[in-house]
Amino acid sequence: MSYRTFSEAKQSYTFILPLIIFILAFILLPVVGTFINSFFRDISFLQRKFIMFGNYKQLFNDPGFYGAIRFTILFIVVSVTIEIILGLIFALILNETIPFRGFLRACVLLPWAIPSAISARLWELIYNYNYGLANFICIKSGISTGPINWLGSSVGAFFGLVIADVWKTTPFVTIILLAGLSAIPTELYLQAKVDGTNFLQRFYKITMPLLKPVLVVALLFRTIDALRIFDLIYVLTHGGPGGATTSLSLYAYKYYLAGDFGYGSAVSVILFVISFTLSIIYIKLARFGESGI
Amino acid sequence: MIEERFKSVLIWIGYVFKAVFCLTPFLYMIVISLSSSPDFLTKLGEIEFSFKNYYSVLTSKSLHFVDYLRNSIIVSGVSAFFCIIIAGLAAYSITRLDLPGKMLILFLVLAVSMFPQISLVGYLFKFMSSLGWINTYFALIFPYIAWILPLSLWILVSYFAQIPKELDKAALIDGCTRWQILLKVIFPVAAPGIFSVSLLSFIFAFNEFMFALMLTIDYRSRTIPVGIALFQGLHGEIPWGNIMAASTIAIIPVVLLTIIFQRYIIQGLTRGSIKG
Amino acid sequence: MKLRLVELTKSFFSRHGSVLAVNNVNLEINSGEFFVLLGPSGCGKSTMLNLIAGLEKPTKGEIWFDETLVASASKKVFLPPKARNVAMVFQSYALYPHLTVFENIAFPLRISRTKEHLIKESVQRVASMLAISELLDRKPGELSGGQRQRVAIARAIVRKPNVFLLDEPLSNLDAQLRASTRGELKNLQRNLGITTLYVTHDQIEAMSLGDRIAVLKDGKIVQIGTPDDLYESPVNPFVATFIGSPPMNLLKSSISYDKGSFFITVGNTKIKLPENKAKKIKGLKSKDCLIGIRPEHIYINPTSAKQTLKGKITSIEPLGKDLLLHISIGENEFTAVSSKKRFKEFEIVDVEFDTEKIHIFEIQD
Repeated sequence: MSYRTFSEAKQSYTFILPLIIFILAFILLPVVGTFINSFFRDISFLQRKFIMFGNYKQLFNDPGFYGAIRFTILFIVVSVTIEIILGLIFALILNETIPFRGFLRACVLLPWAIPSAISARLWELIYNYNYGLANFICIKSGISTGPINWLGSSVGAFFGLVIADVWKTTPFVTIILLAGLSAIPTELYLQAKVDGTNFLQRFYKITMPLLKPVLVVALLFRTIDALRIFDLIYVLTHGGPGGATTSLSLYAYKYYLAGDFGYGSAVSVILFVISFTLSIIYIKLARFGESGI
Repeated sequence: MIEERFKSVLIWIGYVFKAVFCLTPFLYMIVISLSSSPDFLTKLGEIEFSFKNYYSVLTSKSLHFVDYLRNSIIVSGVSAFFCIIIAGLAAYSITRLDLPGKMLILFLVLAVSMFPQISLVGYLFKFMSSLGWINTYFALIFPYIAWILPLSLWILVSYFAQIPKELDKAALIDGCTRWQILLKVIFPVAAPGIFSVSLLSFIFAFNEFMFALMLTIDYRSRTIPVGIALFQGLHGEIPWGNIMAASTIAIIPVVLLTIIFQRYIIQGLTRGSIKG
Repeated sequence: MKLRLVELTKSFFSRHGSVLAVNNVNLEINSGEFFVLLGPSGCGKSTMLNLIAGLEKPTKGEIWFDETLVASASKKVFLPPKARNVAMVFQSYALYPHLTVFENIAFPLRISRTKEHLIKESVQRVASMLAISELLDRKPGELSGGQRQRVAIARAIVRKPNVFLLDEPLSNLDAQLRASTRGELKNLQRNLGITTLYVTHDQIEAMSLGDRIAVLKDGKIVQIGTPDDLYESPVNPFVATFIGSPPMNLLKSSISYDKGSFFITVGNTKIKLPENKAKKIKGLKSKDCLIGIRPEHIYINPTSAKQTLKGKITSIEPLGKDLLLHISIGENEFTAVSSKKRFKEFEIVDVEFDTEKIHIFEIQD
């Protein structure tokens, strides 16, 4: 072996040490702390007591918990599907040579760029029963006869959230898919045109197969992201009406707020495990495409 | 030919739909912020426009809006700054130094970036409480730096990896130490990438919500997203005009940054996700 | 400065096992010499440059600059590039894209904290030496390939290095520029008198630039010598066919002995070999051997012929001034250069081998 001196390896590690310290101290440590905490009964002024799986047993029989899971899954499925489809359409449009492309790109980015809390407040106003934009449009365009109770009904709140989330995160999907689209060499399309295909065929035979890996990555990434959704729901619906739109994150938070750190930690742990499993799958998939390092 | 036409029509419809879809909420926000009463739409034509909402939001002490703005900018700026430095050092060692286990570190970092915030925040709260840092800038800056590091690292690694290693060799031969190579060659050459990452880091820190919600209590350290989320008004009816005015002001920094530097942002985002 | 390599070896270790890039190389390069490392890609020549520059550590062996031990595996000595005062020009030039030409050249001087006015003086002196004075304000991105190369060379010589290392610096230039730059490089080196180590896979470059050349294959030195040495007396078929263009012909043949003279068989004819080849023949392991003869030493339709054979022209390649004729005699096929112009395909011609210029090689598996 080359006589790599100890001081050389030490120097390489000095560069990466700050990063490792920060991640260890402020991300890994809290996660471990949460794990450990989930095995304790830890409710504000009550004495902290080790109860092993006590919290989890309670969770197992907790309808609120299952409700949160149901909602979260449903939300992910509906929201991410719409985002991917819409994102693809937007990306396809942006990929064409259109006038004021920069303008359109900026339009698409803006929803992503603003704080989700502010976006949520805005949508809260839009969904206002009496004078919100949503009902205004629905009534004027004839979609519905009277005002819709967006935030006051569980169905209305659900779709209200979906629309707001789609609005906020489609830009991100668009950008990713756009990058994937521009990676497809134009010669392939030219060749296909010469071979006499129409643009629908080109889409199915060239675009989709070559875009598939990027689509899968975007899908998985968005799913993991949607799994942990909190900001939008907290501000827009607060988990209501009546807990109908409580995501797992929000469910845990409610317990934290009430001072029950033990139970809240247990919920967080479950969410973490689900999320981590998906992340591993994501990383395995994303591995195929590394270079240069 | 018909197919070309058809395609153009589709594209144009899509274009308009997209622009309208994305911009309408913003327009609505601005309109409401400028009107004297939020039921603008039900009383079309009867509403006057004024800057009254802006004025009240900016001058009302009890609202602490300016405090929130100040806190946000300071916290985001400081976090982004340190994040870049730390990520830059790490990216340098990963892409150009002989670091055993570098791929492992990269993937670990990637995995970490996908942790749900809620699984950190409970313990963070207790941790910060015990340090006495709750409601101070420290409570936010340290977690923010850690939270933004993974994405920053991945993007910087992708930029650094593209700089030819022969440049390092030439610099070594010209007499540089590893530090000098980083400061005099790598950072300048990767400047656009570093700029992208700075923008993204600032935006992410600025927009962060959960940590700020749990780790701050009042105007002394509270940030804009939390301030606006909890903005309730004093007498029952939600002061939408004020809220929209506050929101409009609050998003001016990020909107400006996004519009002016969209190319950098898009490049950064693309590299951060395609690579990972 | 004299450069000495003693049993220099470099192995690279990877998941797939180890690769011996440089295999026990012993070399002495004289002060002020223009020394060329010639070999096909992957033969280890770039690795050797990196070892001498201090960009790699030797696995075994030593490197000496005059009387200073610069690197030694066994004695755990390793001077980093900064301490060796070497200069290197890379194939891709490796110019700092964010600095102007002036700053690129000044870079090493700034790192060594030279005084500002000295920097200015040195840079301008070197820039005019390389005729790039008008480019000092530009950035590398605005320059052509040839200009960038000059800047790279300027940066290398600005601080008067001990040894000047060049890694295929001309291969990114187009053919015309290559030829003119070759001459300039040679002149520059002669004027500066810096010990120079030049790596290339192009034998024309090697032959025209080198005071001495070392031919490398698979990390080992196959032969060292002046261009004439290598041309006239190649030590094995590898060197023989690598040097010289068009390449030397190699023919399978066998030696026979008759009445005090040695003969080789080409086609069905025996050709008598001159006396001075006897020693080489006696060293052969068997009577089968490889005959090497350069196309320019085969004469077609010679006026005064001593031993001619009949051969058939299989194809004709124009080389500008001459023709390259592909000829077959029996099972042997080879090429010959002729300045006569009137040949036709499938023509039968008289072929004479210049027996003085015949090389005899062991058949290698």
